Amino acid sequence: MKKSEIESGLRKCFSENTVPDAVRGGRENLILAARQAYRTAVREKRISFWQFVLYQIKFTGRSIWGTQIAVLAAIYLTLYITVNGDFAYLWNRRLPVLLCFSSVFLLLPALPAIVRSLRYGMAELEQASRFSSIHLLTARLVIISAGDILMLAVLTAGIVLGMGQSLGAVVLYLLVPFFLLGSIYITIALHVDVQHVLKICLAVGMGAALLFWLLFQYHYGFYEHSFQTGWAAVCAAAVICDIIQLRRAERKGAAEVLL
Amino acid sequence: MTREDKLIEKLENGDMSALDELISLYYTDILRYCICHTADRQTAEDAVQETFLKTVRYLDRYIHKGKFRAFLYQVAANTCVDMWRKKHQEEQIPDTLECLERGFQRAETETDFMLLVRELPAEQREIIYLRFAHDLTLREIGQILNQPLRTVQSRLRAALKTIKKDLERGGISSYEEI
Repeated sequence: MKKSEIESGLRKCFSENTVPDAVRGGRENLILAARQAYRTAVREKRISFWQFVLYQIKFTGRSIWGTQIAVLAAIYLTLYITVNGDFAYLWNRRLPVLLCFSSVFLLLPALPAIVRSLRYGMAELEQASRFSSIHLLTARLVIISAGDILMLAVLTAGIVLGMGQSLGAVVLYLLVPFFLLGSIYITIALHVDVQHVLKICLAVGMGAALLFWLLFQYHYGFYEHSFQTGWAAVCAAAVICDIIQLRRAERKGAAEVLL
Repeated sequence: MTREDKLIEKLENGDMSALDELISLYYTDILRYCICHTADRQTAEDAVQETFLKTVRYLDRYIHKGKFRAFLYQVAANTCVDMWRKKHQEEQIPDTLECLERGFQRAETETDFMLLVRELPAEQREIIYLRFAHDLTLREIGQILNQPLRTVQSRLRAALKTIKKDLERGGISSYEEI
């Protein structure tokens, strides 16, 4: 018997034996229910991730950015009072370490917002927005990063244009610690038990500040470099590492929901 | 552009009549599938309803690339498994073709092929059922069963080979004895 004959035999056999008997009134009822479900689904249509980020700005963005600006202003005021307005005294040798400190302190106010989204799971928001808690965390990270990068850009422009400092040094000591620390914070947030995230992140931040201070005191050569391609690669690697970690966490979260 | 593509496009533009047409287009096929994958006719009808409602609810997550039929069968397959688990937590999910005893018209003709198909391993049987009862493409079957295209192809080939061998051995008479 040929393959085609077997196939047509199977088709004939199935069509004769597996056709449902009289279809009852189910189809009409189904159409009515489906129309209703469609109307509801259209009303609750899922928004895009970027729309979600914009909505989040309304709720959390302003408070995070406000805190960060306040922290920067506080640092500026402290320094201003300490040196009696004589910034030239500071810029001479201390600029790189001050930039490193700015990176560290700029990230600190963002930590409570990250921990909050992890700690409370944000189940209600997740339900209402139909985004997972990792999406929520990502949205917050996008908001935090956007604000930080804007503030870093203003700081860089102010120092380079206003005070005539080298762009390479400013970018190196401002951006590299920022990206590296950010990446460490995300790793901690995704891998450490939520109860300890804030404490560990604060310890890491303070440790970094202490390290920068010790390097300033005992190994000043660390602050005499300039931004080069290798450092750009370090920043890119940190960002890629963040993206990979967030995607992995999202997949893991989706798998947990399915199980 | 197929009729299905046009209906999906209409539906995306908010035309409700397209939804009615889509349901009418696939209702019988999905009912037929569900009868074979649930315990009884009533559960099958509930599964069909749930399949279409789920599809409508999650339509915004579906990106149309000409695979709506496979998507619908996939939802139906998951719905049938869920319904079976809810009702019979410890029992095994029924094999395809056990359904022939219920819910379908009985043909007067001999069902030799059906007997041969019943003897196949479950995974080959399901592929034969989807291919020849529902006329699905191998790609669609792969998507529904979550198997690579190559696996579907080789299982289908193996199943047809077994049926051919059985027929050559005079399978009809030997199965009549069973």
